[in-house]
Amino acid sequence: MTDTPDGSNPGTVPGAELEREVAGYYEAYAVQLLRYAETHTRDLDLGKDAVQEVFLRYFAERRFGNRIENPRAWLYRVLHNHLLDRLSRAAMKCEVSADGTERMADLQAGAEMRMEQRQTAREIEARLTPRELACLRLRVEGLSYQEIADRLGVRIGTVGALLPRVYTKLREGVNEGAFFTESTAGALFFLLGRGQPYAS
Amino acid sequence: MIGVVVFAVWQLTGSDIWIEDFFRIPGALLMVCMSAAGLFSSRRVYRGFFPGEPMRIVWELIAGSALCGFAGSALIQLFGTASLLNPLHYWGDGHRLASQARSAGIVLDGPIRFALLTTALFLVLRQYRQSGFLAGYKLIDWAVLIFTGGYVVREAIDVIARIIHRKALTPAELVNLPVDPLLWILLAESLLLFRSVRNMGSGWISKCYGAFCAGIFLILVGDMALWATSWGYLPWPWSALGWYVWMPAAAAFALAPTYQWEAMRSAEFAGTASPA
Amino acid sequence: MHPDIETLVTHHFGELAPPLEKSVALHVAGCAECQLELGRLGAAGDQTPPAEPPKGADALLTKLRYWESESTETHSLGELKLRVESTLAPYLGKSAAKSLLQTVRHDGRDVLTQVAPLLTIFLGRRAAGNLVSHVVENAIVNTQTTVRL
Repeated sequence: MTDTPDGSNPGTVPGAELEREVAGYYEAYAVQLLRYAETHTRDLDLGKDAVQEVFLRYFAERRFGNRIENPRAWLYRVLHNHLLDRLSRAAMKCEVSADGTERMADLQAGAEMRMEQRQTAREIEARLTPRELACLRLRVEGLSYQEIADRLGVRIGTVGALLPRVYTKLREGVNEGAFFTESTAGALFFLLGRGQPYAS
Repeated sequence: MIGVVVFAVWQLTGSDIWIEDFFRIPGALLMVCMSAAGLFSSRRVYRGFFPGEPMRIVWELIAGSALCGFAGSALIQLFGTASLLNPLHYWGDGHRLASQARSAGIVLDGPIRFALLTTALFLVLRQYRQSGFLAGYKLIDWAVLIFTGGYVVREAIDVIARIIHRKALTPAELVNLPVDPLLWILLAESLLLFRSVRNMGSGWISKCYGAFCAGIFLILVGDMALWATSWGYLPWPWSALGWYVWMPAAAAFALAPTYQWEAMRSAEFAGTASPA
Repeated sequence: MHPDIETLVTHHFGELAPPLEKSVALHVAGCAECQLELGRLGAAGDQTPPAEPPKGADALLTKLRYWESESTETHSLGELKLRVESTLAPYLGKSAAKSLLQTVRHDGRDVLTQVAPLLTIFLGRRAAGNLVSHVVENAIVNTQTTVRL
């Protein structure tokens, strides 16, 4: 069951043919893979790194003679394992995330910053649906996906689909200039303080 | 503590069944638990192969064999004995039911189990041959096969003699006729498999099939000891030595699929910081 | 038992063979962990363009060619065989791993062609796939300075 662009997936592949194969899969799947990586980590650079690493692994594995029956599924599998591995190694090393440092900075912000944070919080509330907002609040509080699902009375798959949408909307807000990047984390704390339990 | 209590009850009641069961029951439970462990592991290994993969049918047969072993062991060790643990002991017609349970257990744990295992190991050997790792017999293997073959032929002669002299075989004896020929075939397969895994070196897969070989060899030794005892070739107390093979044999069959499972699990999580 | 990620992805895209599809669907219906993973796969297929699309294929190919030129210098066949052998020995046995690698080409480019089929037979496709990826990571990719793409 092969679905290579040129319809072949032999064992040992000549260099040029393999390059075409990898380029074809990159064009076809890189965007989806990056989005999949974003569901595991909010660190965009880590996600991009991971996607590129996966294509390198694909290239290496094919270059050294392995046949891959289902390249798309293979790419997702290697990406999934690579991300889990990097995240668990980072957790073991107790790395401080960018969000953490941003939160620390926000907590010490002055009055002007607090005003910006309130404004950002209002903007975030306007962009998100009530369910998305509830999900975000619970996630910022540190609940796991299962705990969020239990609290909201939804399936865990729904939470898994909702949160990436939330992150996308937050990023769009930053890109459009609607949010002040430095105040986003503080804004989330405002949302925590003002939020009411979501009534389903 | 339990031993002290049982001793006291034995002294008070004067019934030997208390002290007999105290020594028999742990052994019986251990045999049943080991066969349960083998079944559990075999089933996990079987489910680790996708439909259509060549080793899936092998492990389906091994799991089937393990299921027969477990069911047979439970019927023989728990439901087929005059024991306080046996619920049938408290039934009205318990003695007859226990006897039937024991016979059913012997059939399950005998010809059916070994037939499934014989087929499974045949397919394993075929895979080894296709992969180029099948070894050959050595001189000592031929000697063992000839000696044990002689034992099987001698048993067959005994059966034929009984039929000629119009001594009827019981249904249990009839059903168990294939056991020794099957054991001999299993021995032939396991000797070949043993030589092949020795050539491969000591990995998990080699240990898995090596454990099967050890279990089969021990069962055959135990079987021959029983025959020798029944014919007076192995007098008491030497015949008691034959009892000691059944536990290690059961342990070998429990261990074998665990090695394969460990290999598959370790491969699946190879290179990760922690299992997913 | 949980289906592996590859099976879940294949199930998500509706490409599983019918007997396996049925058993996977049955498992997923009652498994929170698998539902979460399917949720992530669903989010990945969302039509909204990502914040930053990945770099073009041309840049990727340049880097892969650089990696390949580096790997040609870094890998001697003997070292490659030794590393692959040490990774496979716990599973197949040292002698089996060694004899498997005896017929590998001078440039080592068919090492996985020799190794992967046997692993698939004895360990199953799921476990063998991960192990082969680990062999690639251990013995090939991570033996040189990682190329940051």
